[in-house]
Amino acid sequence: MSAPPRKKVFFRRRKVCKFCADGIEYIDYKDVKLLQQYILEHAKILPRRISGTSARHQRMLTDAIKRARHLALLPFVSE
Amino acid sequence: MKRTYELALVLDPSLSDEDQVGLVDEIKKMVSSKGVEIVKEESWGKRKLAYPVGKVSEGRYVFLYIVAENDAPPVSLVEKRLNQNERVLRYLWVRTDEDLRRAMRKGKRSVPAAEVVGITGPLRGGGGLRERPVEEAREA
Repeated sequence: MSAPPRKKVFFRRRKVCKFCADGIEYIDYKDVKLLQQYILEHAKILPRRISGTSARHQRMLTDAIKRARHLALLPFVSE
Repeated sequence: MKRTYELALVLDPSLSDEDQVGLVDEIKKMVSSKGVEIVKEESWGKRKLAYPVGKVSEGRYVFLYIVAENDAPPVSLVEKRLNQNERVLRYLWVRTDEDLRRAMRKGKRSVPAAEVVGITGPLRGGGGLRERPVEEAREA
């Protein structure tokens, strides 16, 4: 053991829930533009550990996305 | 207590505009009954589907906003008839009053869907006023 391992210091930006910040309390399944921001390229729902969405809003969001998928407004899968 | 619903419809793209009006009128007749009123109809026209349904890749989107003062709309009957109708690709019933009331009470943004069905802002019933400071303290 020669040089002690140097502690890596890096800064992580604090994630904030967009819906909390904007005071949005109803996520409409018809709002395709908004919902599209929360799906990944394979059409999976963006996990909240990445988006920073609060638990309440993530639940509202997943419900809205699933409704939109049923109406073929959003894909279930995409290659 | 007032209940509000939305009925979303995805219709066959091969319908003509007149056929669409006819079919939607038919569906509106099924939905409306005693104490149930359709307050708004919203049409998006033909839109590409996110995935093919059956053999088609487009659909005609129509949304009905429904207010029921005391009586419930005949949901199961309408669903049965929509299932039988092959010109209806998809439908979705959503009861919206509880979510919209909460959203208008707590939210900072007005919700267009709530205004359509006549659910108004935070001053309703006084309860909203008492709840608000508590909610803000929790978020801070």
